[in-house]
Amino acid sequence: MKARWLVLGVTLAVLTWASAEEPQDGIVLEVRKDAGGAVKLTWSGGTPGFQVFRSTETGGLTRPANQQGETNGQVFADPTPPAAPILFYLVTSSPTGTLTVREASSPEPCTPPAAKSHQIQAEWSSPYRIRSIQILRNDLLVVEQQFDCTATASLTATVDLSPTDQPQTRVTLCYQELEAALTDEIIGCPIAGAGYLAADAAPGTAGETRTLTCAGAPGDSHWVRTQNGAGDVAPTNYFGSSFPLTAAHRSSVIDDLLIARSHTDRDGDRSLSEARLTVVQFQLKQQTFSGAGFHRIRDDFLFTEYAAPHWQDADLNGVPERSFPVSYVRGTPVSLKDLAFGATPAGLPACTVEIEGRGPGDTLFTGSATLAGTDLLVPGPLVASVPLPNAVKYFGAYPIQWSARFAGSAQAAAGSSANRVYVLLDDPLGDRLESYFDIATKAADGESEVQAAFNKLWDEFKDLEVRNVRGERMGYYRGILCASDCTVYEAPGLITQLNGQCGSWADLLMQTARTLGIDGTEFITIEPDPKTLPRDCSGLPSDYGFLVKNYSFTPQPGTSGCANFPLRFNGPCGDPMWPESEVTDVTGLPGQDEANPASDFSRHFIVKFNLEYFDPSYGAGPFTGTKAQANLAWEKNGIAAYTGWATTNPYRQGVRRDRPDVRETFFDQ
Amino acid sequence: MLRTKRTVFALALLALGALAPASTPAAEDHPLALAVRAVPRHHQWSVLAPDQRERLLAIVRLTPGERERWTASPSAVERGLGLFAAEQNGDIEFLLSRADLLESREPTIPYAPPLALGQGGAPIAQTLGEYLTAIYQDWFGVDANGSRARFDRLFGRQQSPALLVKPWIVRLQRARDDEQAVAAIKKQIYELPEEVRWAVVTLAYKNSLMSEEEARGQLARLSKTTKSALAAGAELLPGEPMFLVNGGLLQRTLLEECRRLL
Repeated sequence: MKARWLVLGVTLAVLTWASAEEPQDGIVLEVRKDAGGAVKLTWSGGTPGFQVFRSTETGGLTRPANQQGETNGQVFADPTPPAAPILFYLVTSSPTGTLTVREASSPEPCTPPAAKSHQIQAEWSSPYRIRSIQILRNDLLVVEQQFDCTATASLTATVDLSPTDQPQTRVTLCYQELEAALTDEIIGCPIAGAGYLAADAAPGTAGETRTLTCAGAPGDSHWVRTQNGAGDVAPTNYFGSSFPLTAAHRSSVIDDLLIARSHTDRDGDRSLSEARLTVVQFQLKQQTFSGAGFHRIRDDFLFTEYAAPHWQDADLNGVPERSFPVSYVRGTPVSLKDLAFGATPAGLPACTVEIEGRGPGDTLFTGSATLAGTDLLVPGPLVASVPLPNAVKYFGAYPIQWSARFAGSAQAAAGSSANRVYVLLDDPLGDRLESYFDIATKAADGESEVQAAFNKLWDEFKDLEVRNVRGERMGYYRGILCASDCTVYEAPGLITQLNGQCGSWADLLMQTARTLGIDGTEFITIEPDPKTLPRDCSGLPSDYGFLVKNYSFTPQPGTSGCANFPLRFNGPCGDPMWPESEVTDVTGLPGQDEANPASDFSRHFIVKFNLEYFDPSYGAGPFTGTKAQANLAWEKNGIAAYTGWATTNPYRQGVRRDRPDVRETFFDQ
Repeated sequence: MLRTKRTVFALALLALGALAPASTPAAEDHPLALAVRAVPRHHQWSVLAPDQRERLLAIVRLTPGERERWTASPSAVERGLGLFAAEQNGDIEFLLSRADLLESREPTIPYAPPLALGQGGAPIAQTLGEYLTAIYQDWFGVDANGSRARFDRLFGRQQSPALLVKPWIVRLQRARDDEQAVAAIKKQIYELPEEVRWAVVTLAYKNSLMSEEEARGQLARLSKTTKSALAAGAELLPGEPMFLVNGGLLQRTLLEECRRLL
């Protein structure tokens, strides 16, 4: 800061004032004139910011017209002094002052007022004594105080300052003998832009950025973060007319920071500005999915819906207590409601904070939130800027990176969420258990047409490796040869108990299709056809069954004594009724996760979709054509033989082999 | 968990049947209702034990008046049996009039599990809404999903139950062992408006309920206008529920098959 001072005090060429009343500034001046007539002044003592005066008389020596120059050094050359009988030289020392402009309150309101209250403190000291100090704003006097010529004095005032105001202080000194106005001046400035700054939720990383300014501050001003707790800014030291900084923090506790700007002018006066800055940390606490395309999902085991909020880290420890799966219909936007962030420190005013969430791709969620206690609450739903893909999609994690900011500068990370999101063809039908969503969307990922999606879903079953949402592989009579030993008949049991009958597999294919939003799958029952099979030897209505490949038959034609079911057969359930069986189960037809599943049945269940037939237990199909054609094709693929009673007392089973070109089973639909 | 609940419900129902005196006037203690353990889904009568089939047949033979009384019963079990009787008798008009039950969460008569071997097994609990959804699926080929709103979307544009496609297939299927009944149903089909007839005939052919020759003969009878419309892929049945789902996939499949037969 440039000081416009005029002076006092005192050394006169060759002569020295030394009365007891005169101030002792400690300056000892030596004057030498060389042969060419040039005068060289050298001195010691005093404080930098020296002024040199010259006159032919002592009266009026400190008039401005007599000033020869200013210097911080202690040498001054007067190369062409005027011709005069005697010349008087005076070297004076500057008074030393500090002007401090400090924000009066903290924390401040969310939106800074046009003029903020500041405490302005002016402190001066001078060997020539202080007569008065003024505090001014934009050259207009605010307050003035007279002093009894003390060596040091200070004056404080509380003044409202707008960011462009220039506070000043002026000092008047007591040295009477000198005629000029004996003053000095310092110009200060209020720091603008300090207030609230959002820090990144992850310790040690950068947060919101801001540039603090101080109107008219010289380019070599020194900015320092002089006080901090766990909260901090970077850099902590900076030289410039303004201070670009970034919020940072080292732990979960954030507190006020003190930012100081200082500048020392040529004569040693200091201008100091101070402002408090609160670094605030936001961290995602909860979010709830919603919107027109949103659908809830049920837990496989409990059958209960995953309730809102679907993502939650209530204790803000970075480990969510909830991260529930959700589903949407394709082409609809994700909508989030009841969004809340934890805010540290407590006690913040109800500021409005800009929130932004970045989802997959270019998806953005933007809105405003309001501080309420230790929570930052978003009042309404935030709707994604772009809709979900217009096709089936499996998001193992649908990540949203949240950020917050108080003003229009870079965002500070405010935590992140990740939920499994299943994108469906249409509104889901059925029980909505999570494994159905998982299987269906993984299989049909990318498909937007119903038939193509169903075909992809079928491919998942066809390879005989189907896993639930926990990655557990499900089986078809895995390790079981007697069908009655497995009592899982429907999909909910299959996805939790991991082993099921054909009914459960047919149900699973239907449920997964229904979950995608595909309508019209049918549950088909297949039984031996009494119209084409001959009667058994029970004498009662025949009680047929069938054997699924593979079986070996020896000897032929068999010795059961029943012509229509000539081969003796001991089934896998119960005690053998024949001394030996002429029909033996051998490995195959492979089923889901089982090379040789149970194969002696009364009936079988498959699925029909769009007039084609699918057997998920064996991954067989589709069987096409008319129903009768599909039926025969299914039969050729899987049926080895039929069972019926060969004898009735005791009841013993006989077997007849399948006739490849005769349909001996029937599909009920 | 669900499995356990369902089993408990079934056992409770059985226990009630064993303990309740036959003379108790409460509707849900009707001796016939108590004697029925489960209804078959998907026409799977064979999964029921023989004695259960007999009891259900008694329900099927209820008079229309009795059926109506049962479906108005305060007992959800009796209402379920009333629905069963109505669907077994093919009373689709009545079934469609009870869409209000789609959203009922009252537990009704359970259904028999789809066993691969033998009969019996612990019945599986169902609500009235779930049961009616299954009945609609069988009769009309679409999934109302326990939702009245969805039902209205699917059936709202339908003018008459007689113009629905799938019920004709169900009737043919159920009558397949009765030649006279099949002939009578086919006669009715042949008299349907052309915009319905082509779909019923084509679907019956695909379900092996009509021979290819029979189907070709019937399709050949269609007017030139209808044939042209079919050739052009026109939407002749805008109110058919099966054509309203899956983006009209089934309609496209049937049209393709129909054009092949024509």
